[in-house]
Amino acid sequence: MGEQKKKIVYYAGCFANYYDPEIGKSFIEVMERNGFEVIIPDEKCCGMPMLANGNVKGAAKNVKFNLKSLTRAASPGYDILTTCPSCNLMLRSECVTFFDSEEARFVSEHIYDASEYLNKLNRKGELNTKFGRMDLKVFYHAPCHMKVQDLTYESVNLLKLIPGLSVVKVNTACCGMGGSYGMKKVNYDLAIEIAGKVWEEVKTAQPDKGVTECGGCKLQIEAGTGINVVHPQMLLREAYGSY
Amino acid sequence: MAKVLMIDYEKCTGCRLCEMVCSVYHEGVVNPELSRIKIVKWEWEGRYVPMACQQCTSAPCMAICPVKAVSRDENLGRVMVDSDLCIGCRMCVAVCPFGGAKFDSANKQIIKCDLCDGDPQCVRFCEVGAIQYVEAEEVTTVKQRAAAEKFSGLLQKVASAIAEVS
Amino acid sequence: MNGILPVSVLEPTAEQTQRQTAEIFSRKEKEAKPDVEAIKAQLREIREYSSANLPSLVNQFRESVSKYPGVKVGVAENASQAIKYINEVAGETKLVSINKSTVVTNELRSGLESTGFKVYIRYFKEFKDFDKVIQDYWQLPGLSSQGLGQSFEITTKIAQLEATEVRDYIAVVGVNAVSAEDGQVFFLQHFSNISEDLNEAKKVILVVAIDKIVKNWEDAAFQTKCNGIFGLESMTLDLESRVVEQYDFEKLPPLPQGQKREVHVLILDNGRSALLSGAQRDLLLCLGCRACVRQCPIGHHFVGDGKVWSPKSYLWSFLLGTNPSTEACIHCGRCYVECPVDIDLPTLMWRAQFEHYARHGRTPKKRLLDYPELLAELGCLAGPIANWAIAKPVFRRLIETMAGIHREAHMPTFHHESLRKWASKRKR
Repeated sequence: MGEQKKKIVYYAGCFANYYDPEIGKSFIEVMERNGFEVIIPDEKCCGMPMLANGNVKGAAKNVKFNLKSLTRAASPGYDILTTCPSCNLMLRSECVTFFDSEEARFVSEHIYDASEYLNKLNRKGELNTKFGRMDLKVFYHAPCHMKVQDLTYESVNLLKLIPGLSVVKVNTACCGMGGSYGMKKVNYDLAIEIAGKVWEEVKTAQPDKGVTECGGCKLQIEAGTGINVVHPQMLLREAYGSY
Repeated sequence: MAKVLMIDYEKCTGCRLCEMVCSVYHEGVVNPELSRIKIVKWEWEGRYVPMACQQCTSAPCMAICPVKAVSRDENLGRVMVDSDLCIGCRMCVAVCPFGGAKFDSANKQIIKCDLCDGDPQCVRFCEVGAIQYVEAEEVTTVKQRAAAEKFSGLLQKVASAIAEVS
Repeated sequence: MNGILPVSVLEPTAEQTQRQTAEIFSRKEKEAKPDVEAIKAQLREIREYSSANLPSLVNQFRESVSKYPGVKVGVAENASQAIKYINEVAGETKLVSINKSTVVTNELRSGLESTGFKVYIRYFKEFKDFDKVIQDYWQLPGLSSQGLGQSFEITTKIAQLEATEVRDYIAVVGVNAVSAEDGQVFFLQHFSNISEDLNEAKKVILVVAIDKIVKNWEDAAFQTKCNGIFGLESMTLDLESRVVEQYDFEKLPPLPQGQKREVHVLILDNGRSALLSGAQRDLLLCLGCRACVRQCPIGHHFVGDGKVWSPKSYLWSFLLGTNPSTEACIHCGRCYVECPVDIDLPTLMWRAQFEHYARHGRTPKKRLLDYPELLAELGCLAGPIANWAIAKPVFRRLIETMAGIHREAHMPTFHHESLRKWASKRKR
């Protein structure tokens, strides 16, 4: 009797797709180790950066495409997972606010951040906790978009399950990147000033690695400290691998 | 080891002598409004609770002060307000969970218990010993002893009850 | 009505907190303290009632306050009408003291100055020079509002505007809340400038923005308390050493005895009732506590331009036309987290931003970043060449000129094989 594999739908987002596919690969492996089959439907950019840039029409087109693709993929009743907090926010709230439709609401009700979802599994006793030991000191930076969705400590709680791993500092200040805001010439000096607080805390904490879900935050922290910043899913994959 | 004020409200009679001597010592006048210690009263119930600054190690007043006028004196284990630096914004008054800091509007300064530089006057004058100035560990020892007595008294009662039955 | 307008001032006090904590110490059974969620729920009710009944509350307040024979009532549709009224009241006197009210400072001050008044925020004169230690939001201790429930109480009821020393100047002070039922006025005060102005100024003008009007005096007192509770930490950010231009009102000679003092209540609309029918209606829920300032990462960069700043006032001044853009907003959402009445400021900011672009259009440089996914795809196609290029200063200078991306900003590197390509290969 073959075991029916549980399935989830993965919305990867542009950062995982084009800039750092290791995020997506790690996440897929983590979910597979928890007995899930990961479906990756067709997707376009979630539209958040287009909205922020003022390209409302472009964002609307992408949103329409994504909602259609995701509803179709998740219609048998699968949950939709993301690894990027901004994509999560876009699909969970902004779509309903600005591009309301039945599909928008469906997606909003079925979407979860990856760490949030794994914590949920853990609470039900369904999480694969066969983590190998990782003697690592990490600095966790909570992206603003996680904070605003009340998910500030999800990854911290998850990482605590890895034996040997210690979260030496949880930083909840804004890093100033704001997507691509901090990269722009007009905002650069301001963004650097805002980032200063986070950089100082990293220097004080002296971690082995930095951890954050947001690609923008990752770039900003690396810019000022030189430490390597990874996505929490990567640490989870490594821990599973070394069991 | 720094000493602390050990307050046993059950002994307090509500006479408010402590408020008088406190204001005399610090301000030169008898004025309960300027006293650093305050007796909170429930007259009908005969319940009187002396309240003063708890000299917190992780004091909220220290954290909120925008000019860092509040600091901890580790020698005497007390929280001090530097009146030269204090600008009178009253943030500390608002954040103290015990109401330990008050604002003297006439002199525009914060008033709070400073343990009278090591010789607390309220302790000297409290007739019933509701306030005492003791080593920090002593506070728990006193309570432990009281609880142990009750417990051993209880044990004795149980023992004699068993003895009677058998 | 005995003719004197009741004005109450709330200040930080220790008494109630002392009493409550003494209660907890001495009661054997622990009673649950009213928690911050309960305070927020009560506040939300008050604000929703106010915004839902705005026109009738304005009328009711106007009637109630007119019943006090000593009080003159003025109504101003907009800022210029308000300035006109103040000019008429002031007559010869050109010296004005204001409190650190967002309404008065941001909406009326510049108009007053341009009609010849000398305006000073007396608040900043109240404390001596100091070295500011808490410079920015991350240095705030992050104390929970939970403990502050009893920290603000009515300490002064100014029922008599008969003072010992009257000085020849005008006080234009913005209120925290007023009661429609009986016209009572409430202020929150950390220093003493408000009570001094109320006691000393020859003419007192109480500016009541219409969204400060609540049902009755209990609601008004509670709302004012909440201003203290939720705005406490933001206030620390405002404290500026007296670099701000000052005037020593104390040095003014007292006028001879038996001066006739005037009290005016100026009801100011200035665009607020227009919000009722629009997309920004939720802004009427705002009580002006400025909790939204507490975590705003761009906040302190706006302090010091003479205005009282908050993310809300940033948006509000944009809607009023005195602020040209909303582009400094980083869309982090932290103001929403802080707001005690859950105003979705980020969404309102988005809407205002889109309106801004619809009104002013967007530059070609800005439009270059309209399709970031396309740029990412191209970058991936170009593969290692793209990564090589963005590391070269000459190309970064080009990108800076064309697309406005700072030449030293850390850009992400393009991966030669996108995740989806890898995933589709894997399926086979």
